[in-house]
Amino acid sequence: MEIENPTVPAFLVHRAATSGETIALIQDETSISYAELDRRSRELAGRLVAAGIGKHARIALLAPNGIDWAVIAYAALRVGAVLVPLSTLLRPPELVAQLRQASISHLVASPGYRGRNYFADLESIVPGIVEETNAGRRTAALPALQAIWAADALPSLSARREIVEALAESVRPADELVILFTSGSRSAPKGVVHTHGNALRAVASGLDLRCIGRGERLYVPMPFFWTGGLSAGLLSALVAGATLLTESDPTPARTLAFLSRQRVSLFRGWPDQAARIAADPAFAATDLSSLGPASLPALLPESRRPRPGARANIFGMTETFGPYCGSRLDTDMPDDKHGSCGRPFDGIEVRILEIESGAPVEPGIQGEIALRGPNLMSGILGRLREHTFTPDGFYGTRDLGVLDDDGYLYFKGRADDMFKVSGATVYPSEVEAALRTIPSVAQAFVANVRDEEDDREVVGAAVLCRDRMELATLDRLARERLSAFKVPRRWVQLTSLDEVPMMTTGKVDKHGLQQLIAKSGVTV
Amino acid sequence: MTQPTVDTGDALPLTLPRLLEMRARELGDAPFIVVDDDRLSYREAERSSRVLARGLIASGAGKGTHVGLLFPNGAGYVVACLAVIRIGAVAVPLSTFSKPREIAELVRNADIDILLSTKAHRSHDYPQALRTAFAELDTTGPGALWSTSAPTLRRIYFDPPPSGVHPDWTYHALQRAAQSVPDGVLDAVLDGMEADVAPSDRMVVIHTSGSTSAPKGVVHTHGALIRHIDNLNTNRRFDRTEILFSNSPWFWIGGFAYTLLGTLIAGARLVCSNAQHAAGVLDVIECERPTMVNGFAQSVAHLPSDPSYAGRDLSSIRRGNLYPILPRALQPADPGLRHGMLGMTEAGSVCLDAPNENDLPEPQRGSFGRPAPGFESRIVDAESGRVCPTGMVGELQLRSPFLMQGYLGRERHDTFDPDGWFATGDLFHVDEAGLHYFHGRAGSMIKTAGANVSPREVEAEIADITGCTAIVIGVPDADRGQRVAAVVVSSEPVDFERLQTSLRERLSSYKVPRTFLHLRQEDLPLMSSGKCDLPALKKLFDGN
Repeated sequence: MEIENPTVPAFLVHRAATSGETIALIQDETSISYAELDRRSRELAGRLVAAGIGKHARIALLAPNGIDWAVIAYAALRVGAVLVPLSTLLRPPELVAQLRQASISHLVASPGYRGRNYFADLESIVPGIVEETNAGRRTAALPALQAIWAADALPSLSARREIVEALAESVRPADELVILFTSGSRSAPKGVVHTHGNALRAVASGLDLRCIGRGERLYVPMPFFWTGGLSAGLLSALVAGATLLTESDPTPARTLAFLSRQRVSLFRGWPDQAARIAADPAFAATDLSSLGPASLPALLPESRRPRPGARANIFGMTETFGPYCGSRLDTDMPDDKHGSCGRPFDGIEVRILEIESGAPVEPGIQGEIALRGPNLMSGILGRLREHTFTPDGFYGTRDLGVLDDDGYLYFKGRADDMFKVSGATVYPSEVEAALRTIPSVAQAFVANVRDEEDDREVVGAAVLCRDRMELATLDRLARERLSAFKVPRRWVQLTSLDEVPMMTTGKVDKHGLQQLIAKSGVTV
Repeated sequence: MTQPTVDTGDALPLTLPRLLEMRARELGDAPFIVVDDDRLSYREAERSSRVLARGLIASGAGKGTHVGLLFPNGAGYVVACLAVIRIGAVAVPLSTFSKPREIAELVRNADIDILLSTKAHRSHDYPQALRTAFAELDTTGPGALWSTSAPTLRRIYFDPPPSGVHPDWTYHALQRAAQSVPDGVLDAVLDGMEADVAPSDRMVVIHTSGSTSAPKGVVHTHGALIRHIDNLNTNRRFDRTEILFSNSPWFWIGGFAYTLLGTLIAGARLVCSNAQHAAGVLDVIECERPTMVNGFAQSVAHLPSDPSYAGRDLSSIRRGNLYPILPRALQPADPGLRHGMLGMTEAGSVCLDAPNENDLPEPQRGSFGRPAPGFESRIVDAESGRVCPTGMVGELQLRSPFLMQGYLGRERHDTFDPDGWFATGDLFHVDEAGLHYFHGRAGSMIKTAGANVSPREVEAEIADITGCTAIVIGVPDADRGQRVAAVVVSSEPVDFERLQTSLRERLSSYKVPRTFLHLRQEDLPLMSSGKCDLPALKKLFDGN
């Protein structure tokens, strides 16, 4: 890393000094340079300090991607406040619950976004909250909350620049940076706590493999309020000195025009995001020649697309502040490593543990992926260390994986999702991967469902086929690919991906999927 | 029963607000602390800290706020400390011995936002000291502090109000802030904030006394510290039937955790005295009739020489480690045959001890006992990094869910090894029975002509021969690298030649000091913590 004691304020100053003219962020047609980002975030920081925000205060930010998001976040971070990004998709009760859970003292919210009015949402759960809070009175429902500000109407009185700079210098790598809310497919949201040091090292550890260097024009269609957008987007650009491009309201057609016009050199995100854009009728006629080879394959011309599995299935989680495992994204891995997630980055140690006993297993044996190291989160909000880490510092991820003799990691699904059928363990991700190798199956989702007649657990599958298929054919093709006990007994053929129940986090709603298969499925 | 983990699902409340609420409800008007004329019952502690907590909330404090405390032992300290911690803010007790420069340093390093301070104690005038510490501080009018040398510190509130200080800088301002909100609302907010305090939240930052390095802020969380102290209470049978006398200052870990928090957890009564004269301290002990006495023996060493001592009735004392004031029948014939205890800020006070108040068999002389409940220990060789076999001296390392969360501002991997072990910097060996024996600080090991000398071993021999306290150090030596040197503390002159001869009979020759210095107790260089100032001591040898 270019900075010895990494903190966000130190990086903002460093970028302004070394790449001041470089564009930091482009939102639609508006852009901001690193020098300007430094200036504007310092200026706003002075106003936040004057309004009572101190070091270690918890500031929630509820807004869509954009320059304002970055300026507000960096302003809070440069005076040592802890940033708590909130999802714009939260329903009102979830919003209030997360404000309470994180003991938020100051909330900055977009005045309105996609028809949402967050102030009205708050009022719907806690009547009078906005007026009471802004009159300087706290409420029993959100006892820590002291201010609710619209992102375009922040306090104007400012502290002296010297105070802001002294505060920025007081921020240390060990200080808390961010609390990121994440939810598993079944568990309640948990607040993952990262420090400046661990988060910035995590970001830096993957930059080379992710092919993000100075001058890169990076498009990441992921929200800043989740790990993907914040780590792989905003902070990756800051640490690398790259330019991040974002749209406030993307659609496939608009995004295609944006990518082309802005000469984007790297497109990273979820594969289905790239697939959706590539499926747009305008794709064929759009000039995407600026895209580098490390971009998501769906957007690359056929001739430049790597074979499936040849590039690392780059892998990470909120607890590691983004990717912790990978391989150079512009280079194929050795043939025998195809399908792997590459190797762990510096700063994260991977160990595979036997599910039942927690004992380490030999290479090649599947178990739970456990992690430790200086780039891992510092902890989970409100959770005791003894409930989070083993005495020797490992965090059990509930992800299943295999490490091979050369240290390559293979992801095998979620431990929480695995289930038993007649005593044998079934991993939904394994069954899903096998079903997707059937040529006419475009997408597959697998979960355990209760067979009411036999009163036992069976494998259920919801598949999206390019052409409608006979159940018997599906069953036969699945049997060619899977051991008998893993073959789905109950099938649903989807007509569109929209039928798949999703959570606001973008993950499949496991419970909803089970209900769908139970209700609409047909038993072989 | 002692427990090896924080969360065991038992009835012990794992946050301070829950604990305080429970004790106030159960014990009501029973005395919690008695400090000279200052008395506070459990109910009063809850009520007074509630009033102050409401003021703090109305003034913007909450989770994440670091609040410094500058008070001597007394009701003012207890009320401030409980108020800060019960709302989920982090308490940062500061030593009342601190000089202005040290206060400025502690405030800056501990990110203190708000400072609650007494007006004066002993020779210290705190408004004056704080104005010296922070050049921008002007307490004559209203306003906040904006200082580049302490950028986080915004408010200081004095109690009692010093003369010439504007009311905005006193508790009056907190009361006024609380009055602007209806009582019912503020109480409901306080209840909510207390409910939101989690056992994993930070409770306190206690500073190390800094005998070998600059003070470090040690972070302890609610659940871990409460469980650890409850375990220690169980081991020393400290319960609500006891009255504890201890003069350990509450701003350091022994006073804060082992003594004050220990008393609250036990539901017992804590007695101490700030009296500057021995007679005043003896008055308090005689009047309050403690059953246990605990702390550093030096804190009471002067009491028996007071003229009034002979006529005092101290018969209430039944046990404890302040041997000088135990009734004669309870005094150990040979204190070296009693278990020692190892405590450190990082371990939330005691981490090695033995639930045994009797004389040990001779081979166990000098034992510090075994790891406290929930603690693992190992002895590691500094050079190889390997775990030492039984009997070999090496550095003590500890691992436990009750160890500090970390040093404030320092990353975990700089403090703990990857497996979670904390290197204490203390040298120990462990015997076959698992008992631990202290050999001094790792840095204090003297390397002379290629051999290692443990100062502690030599000090013990000198004490045995002369009956005097000795401090053994290494001083630079052109031929040997370091030369063993000894300071003998005594009011009478010491015959060093005879001492050296006696030592030669007991110790390998390389361990015998080659240089001696005689100092009277009052001439011994001390740091503000009361510990010996070793660098200053080393300088004394430069001229001799």
